[in-house]
Amino acid sequence: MWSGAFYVVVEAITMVSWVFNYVYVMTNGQGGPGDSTLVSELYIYQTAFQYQAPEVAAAAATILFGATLLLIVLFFRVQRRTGLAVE
Amino acid sequence: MTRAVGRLSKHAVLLVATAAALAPVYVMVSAAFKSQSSFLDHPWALPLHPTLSGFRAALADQFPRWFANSAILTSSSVAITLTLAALAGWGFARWDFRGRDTLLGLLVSLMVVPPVVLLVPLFVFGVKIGWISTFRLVIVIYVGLMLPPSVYMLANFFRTIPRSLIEAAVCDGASSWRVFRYVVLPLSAAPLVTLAIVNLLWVWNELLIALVFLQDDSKKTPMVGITGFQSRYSLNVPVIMSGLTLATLPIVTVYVFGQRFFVRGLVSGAVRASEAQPMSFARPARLHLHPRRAKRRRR
Repeated sequence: MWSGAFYVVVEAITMVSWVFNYVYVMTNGQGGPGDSTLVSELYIYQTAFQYQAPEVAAAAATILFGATLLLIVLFFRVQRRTGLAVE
Repeated sequence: MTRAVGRLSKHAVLLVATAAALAPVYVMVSAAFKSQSSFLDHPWALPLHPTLSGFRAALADQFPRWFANSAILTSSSVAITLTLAALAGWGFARWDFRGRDTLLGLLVSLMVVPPVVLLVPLFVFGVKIGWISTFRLVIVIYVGLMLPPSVYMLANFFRTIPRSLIEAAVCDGASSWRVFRYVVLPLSAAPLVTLAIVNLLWVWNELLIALVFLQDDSKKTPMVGITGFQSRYSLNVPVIMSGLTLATLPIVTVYVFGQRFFVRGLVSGAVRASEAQPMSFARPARLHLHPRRAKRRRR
């Protein structure tokens, strides 16, 4: 069951990164109207490759990585407390 | 009575969900056969005067070229991933080396790293070795991104293979490689096909990495190319929809043919893993030396 829960969490995170595709295609890579659909992936892509500011993109990517790291650490913690292994 | 109502409402929910999922597909396919003006007049109507001009325009463009690009990328990266993941998964499931659980844990946590995080470093790296706009760089990236979940799923599946089967083969004098090749792999058809489909779907639909690393017009994938259609044809909807329909066809075909395996494989890898004893293959290496002791240990 925990393996199943883990699978769901991973799939959810993977699905979230799909949002980039929809936003990019629907808004012509702009995240419009305004910046209302500017998701983190698109922001990183834009700053790195459209605005030529890779240092900003790298900083944003680090923050995003930290957030996912936090989630996965939390997940492992909860799992260990309940005494069930992932594998 | 209440049970009938319950079943009816369940079906209603499923029907609505199906309709919601199919509606965009319907619009895509029907618009592909319409002319621009008839699409704008009646976007939801059936194509009463079907025309192939949309398909013709899409195919006359670089579409076939993009298609071939995606086919090369997808087939090679999925083939490499499956080979490596099967070998690594077997190692994780059977070989009790030091630090195995740490390594597997590390691999599992790699699964949740969003690919966009790696974008800038990978691009810098690609520029340094001069591989931008080459298939090999993108294939390497795809393989790297697909490996963690693939290894995890296969390792989980391999653990569910009954231990006695492997013991039997080992008793008959099969080497480690022969056990893997002639006992384990044939049993793993369902998860392997499932993995192949999941990975095929992912690579085929992948946009971000293809967009960044394949900038040459001759190296583009259909997904990137069709996105560019939007500006080039100033929103000629039928041409875009024709391209999308063509790009969807191969993946739908693969899915329909693999569906039988697909559901079975998903269940075996993701859910049944928890029912299997976690360490059932912990110390298999000595089994063939002491078959009697092995039997006792099996309980």
